Amino acid sequence: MTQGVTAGFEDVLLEHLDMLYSLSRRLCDTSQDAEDLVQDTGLSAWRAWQQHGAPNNPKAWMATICLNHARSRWRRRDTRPAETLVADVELDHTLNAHPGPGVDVEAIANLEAHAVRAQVATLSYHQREAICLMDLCGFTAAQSAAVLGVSRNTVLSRTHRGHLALAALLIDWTRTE
Amino acid sequence: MNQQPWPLAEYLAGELGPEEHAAVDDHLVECDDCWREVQLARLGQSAAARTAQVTPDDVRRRVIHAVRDGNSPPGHHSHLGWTAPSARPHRRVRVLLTAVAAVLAFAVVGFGAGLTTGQHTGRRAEVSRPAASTTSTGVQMGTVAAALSYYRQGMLPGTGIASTPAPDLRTLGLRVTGASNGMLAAQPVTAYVYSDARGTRQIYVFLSVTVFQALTPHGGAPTETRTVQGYTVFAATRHPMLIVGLDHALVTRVGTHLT
Repeated sequence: MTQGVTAGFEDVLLEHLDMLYSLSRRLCDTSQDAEDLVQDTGLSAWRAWQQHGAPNNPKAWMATICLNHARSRWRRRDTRPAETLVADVELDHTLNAHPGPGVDVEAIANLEAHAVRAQVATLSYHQREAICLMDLCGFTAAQSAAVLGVSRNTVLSRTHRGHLALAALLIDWTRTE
Repeated sequence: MNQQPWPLAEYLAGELGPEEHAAVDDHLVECDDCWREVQLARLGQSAAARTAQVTPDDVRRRVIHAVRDGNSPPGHHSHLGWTAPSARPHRRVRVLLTAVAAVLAFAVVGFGAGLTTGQHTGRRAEVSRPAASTTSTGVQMGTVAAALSYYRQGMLPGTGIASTPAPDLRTLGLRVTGASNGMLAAQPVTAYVYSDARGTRQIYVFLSVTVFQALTPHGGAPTETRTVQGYTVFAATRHPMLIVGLDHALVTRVGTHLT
């Protein structure tokens, strides 16, 4: 391993480290798990880089390694997310429960980030994955689909439902505060 | 509203072509339902974008050192199973062991605290078991604690496929949205997740292929409903099952329906 190879990888890793950290914090239950996940991701990426050289799309490549590691953690713990079948959400309920006028948009916009993160943590795992890729990492639906190994429609659906669910949670949160 | 559903998800993701996007723009002016849906989704979207975090310095250093220090041998994981030290003493080892000790201490304390406050602890139920005590249907509290832990975290025990079809609860407005075969505190179970029309996870039903361990008819109670840390737990002996959920009335209804 030459200094140059290591330095090249390190630059890429540092460039995407915040993305990996944000991803890991949303996908893991504790910050300790998240930090381990970031480290595992970095090590896996480094090994792959040494073997196969620099990837074409480092950002997607890093995100894929991170998500795969996160998923393999459940297998180690012999669990998996409860959402395995596609639930046909009737949006009317969500929408009717939270009519437009009267929602304090400003209150929600002013919510501290940690309050929002707490509500994101209660979303289903698959919705969190999709939202992270689309909103935090800035991938397109097609790119996210490739990272997750699902169809583009599935990504769009999970993201959309996740947004609606999060909005409902935040509205309830601000109403009870 | 829905003869042909409008592509709102794509619209919000900014992935419609200009003509399609303009068409949805026009539609939103006329359609209250779609307008409301888009406003709500935008709320969630902008909130989600604000959850980005900066990597703490110590985590940054840790990851960089992990990469520099090693030429780590394959299988070098940073979780509890990590067993491969390299030739040079690693600062990471000391940090890791301290972290592991802290996490275990937290898990034992935190799991109990988690049960009280209803917050995530992120640890497997097996990490800390509440002191053994039994309900009148004889179900060990360790089993109940494990069931609640899975319910609260939205996870399923095991990764196996549930080969038996789920009990039909459609008349109660519940649909199956997940199922698995696995273990609940050393008890083999089939777990089913039920959600309501909104898609909100409502209850878990655990069916045992064998009688629940230590399930003895204390005083012969065939069923029992009990509140544990704010959750309702229903247990039955004759057809061994455990039902957990937040909605007391719903859990009771389902329990009655299934026994």
